[in-house]
Amino acid sequence: MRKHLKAVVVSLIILLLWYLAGRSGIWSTYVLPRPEKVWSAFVVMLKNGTLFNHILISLTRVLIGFCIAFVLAFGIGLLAGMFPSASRYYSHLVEFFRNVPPMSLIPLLILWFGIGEKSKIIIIVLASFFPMFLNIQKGLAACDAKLLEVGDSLNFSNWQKFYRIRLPNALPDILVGMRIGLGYSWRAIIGAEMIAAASGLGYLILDSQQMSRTDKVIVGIFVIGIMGSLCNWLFSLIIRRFVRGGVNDSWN
Amino acid sequence: MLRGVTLSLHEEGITVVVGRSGCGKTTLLRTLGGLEHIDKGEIRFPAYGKIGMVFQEPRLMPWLTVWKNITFGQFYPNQEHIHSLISTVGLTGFESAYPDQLSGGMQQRVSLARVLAYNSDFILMDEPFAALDYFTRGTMQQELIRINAMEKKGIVFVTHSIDEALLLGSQIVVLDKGLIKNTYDLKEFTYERDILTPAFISLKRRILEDLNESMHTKGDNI
Repeated sequence: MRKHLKAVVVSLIILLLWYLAGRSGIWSTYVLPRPEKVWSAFVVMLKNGTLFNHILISLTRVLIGFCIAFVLAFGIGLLAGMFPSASRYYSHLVEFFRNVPPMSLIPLLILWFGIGEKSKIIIIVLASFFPMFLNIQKGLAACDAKLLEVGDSLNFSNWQKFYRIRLPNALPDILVGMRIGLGYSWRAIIGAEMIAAASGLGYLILDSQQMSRTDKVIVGIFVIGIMGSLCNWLFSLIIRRFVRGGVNDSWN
Repeated sequence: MLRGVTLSLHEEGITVVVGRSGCGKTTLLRTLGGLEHIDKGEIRFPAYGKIGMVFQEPRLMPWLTVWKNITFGQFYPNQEHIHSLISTVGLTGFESAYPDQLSGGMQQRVSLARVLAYNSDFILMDEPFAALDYFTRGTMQQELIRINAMEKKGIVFVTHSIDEALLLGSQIVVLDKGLIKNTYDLKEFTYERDILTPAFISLKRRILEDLNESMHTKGDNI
């Protein structure tokens, strides 16, 4: 309870500063809406269901793209882990595309795939594929030889060594990759929706800005942050449930 | 590196391979276990299937419980048999524990139970008690003797401790620089052994001579 208190106190201080800034009138309400206004906009959108729709649409896109990216990342990561010498053929390509922001590919994707759902899903896949792929490949390739030798000593077949030793050993890395990938997916969808969509949280932000409703913009931003945190938290739960001893990653 | 080893093992006894670090005893064991290749020569086992191995580290699967680790090599473990193995190695009550909750000695005992569950005809052990404290080591040595008597499995046991060799071996093979220096037959000595008796002390002296001899004759600096 103590540690939650500390977090709550800081949030309250920020809220207070915001409220005081609003009261003081230093900035116009167009530039910085008052917290009360943002709250009422939030309540309105919640009540008439528009917020829920936007959330659902964005979430659906993210989940579809994420699942596709995971299947690809796992399949290719598997092959890459099993044939480590093949990495010389493709590792430069991976590195190249890892550094290309998915957003910069949007014009090309729209050209090739139109402004429908397809191009959005592809952006999500592109954004989340790389962290997952790299983690899965690393997790599968870097299995302790000593554990594999135990398999040898028990007369395991190659398949058994993979399925019963290498794969479970890689699970923490795979889950970390998935968690990072989900985060990237989420960031990517907002960008994609801001450019080529008629629905979703990214669209909400852009549309609100064009309508000069900065309060709705802020609502959108809050919802995005909260959704992202929620997804991350859910994943932590999954990791803790399925991985013995937790996962050592740089996020916690 | 092994340079020419001809060895015959006691089928139901404990063959101890003793020597200094780097003499090739681990290589010998791993070769017997099929983990290393041989350039020349052959290994002849009577029509067995299985050889089990206990490594220097416990090498347990960290994501599995003690029970799952012990039954790791089996498809359809016999529940009663496993329970009795767990009690043999003194880990009753820890079936659901994970390796990171166990001490080194306990982990090594799980590893021992694992190889026993595997039910091989021969067990190869590579300095399995080296990382244990003196007392745990003593307990495990007695356990090993007891298991050897009960299960009638041949054991090849590698160690750099001459005392341990004297305690356990029905046969002691002294390995030095990849060659067998000497072999001692200890079948006449029953277990439990008191290695402080004159017979054992003289045996120890001879083994020490074997190991020191080559050191002197090769003109090594001491």
